Amino acid sequence: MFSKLNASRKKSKLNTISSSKKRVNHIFRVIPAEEINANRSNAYTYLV
Amino acid sequence: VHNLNPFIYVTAGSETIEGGQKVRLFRFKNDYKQKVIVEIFQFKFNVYALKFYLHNHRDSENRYSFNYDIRFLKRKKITGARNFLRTVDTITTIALKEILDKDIIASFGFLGAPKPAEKDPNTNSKNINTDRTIANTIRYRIYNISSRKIFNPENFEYIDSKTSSIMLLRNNKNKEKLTVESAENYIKKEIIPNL
Repeated sequence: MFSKLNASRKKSKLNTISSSKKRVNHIFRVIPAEEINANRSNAYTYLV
Repeated sequence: VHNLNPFIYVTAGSETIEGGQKVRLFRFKNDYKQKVIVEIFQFKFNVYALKFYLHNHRDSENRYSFNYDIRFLKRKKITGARNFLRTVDTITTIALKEILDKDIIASFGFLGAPKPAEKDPNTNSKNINTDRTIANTIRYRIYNISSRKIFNPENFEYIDSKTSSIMLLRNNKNKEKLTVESAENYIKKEIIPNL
């Protein structure tokens, strides 16, 4: 039934557009725990 | 506790893709009785990525970018929110039950695929990067907020890149091998060039 499934039969375009690739200096940051805790309801506890 | 409300899912086996990578498959039916396929990819450092798409879009290059047409939703007199939230809950449940329960040092990466309009240079040029990534997509923002209900920052480091719409939830049980620096390098040098 799923024999036709093929994840790479066609190139994934998960987050891309068709253009030539040029390197981009992507910005990364670690989100502080305080920031994550601050934006949530106290009614919830984390699942993991 | 944040309760998840997933659809019932079943395993759909696995397949080997180009390069020899094995992909595990799951499937479920959404609110509109359409089959959704979930793919689990495993990368270095016990990092997993889950991708999903409608089964009937399996051969489309844009299968990860699909969103329901507003006319479809209007015809059904729904917003689509319930289906979307349950879909996210299903993906989360698969991540927790099928991956983290079996690999306790698993980390998770996600990328918010752009909606079709976000790929349009005429309307979204400021967010479209020259390496073909798209910054700050709607799905990235939603997944970013959703994950904050699930993953305790004491157990997972949130390594965030708004410019590429990627976030890595680094499992702190694997922090010696998967440092913040190595995670950034891996995303920049291996993940983004192969998107």
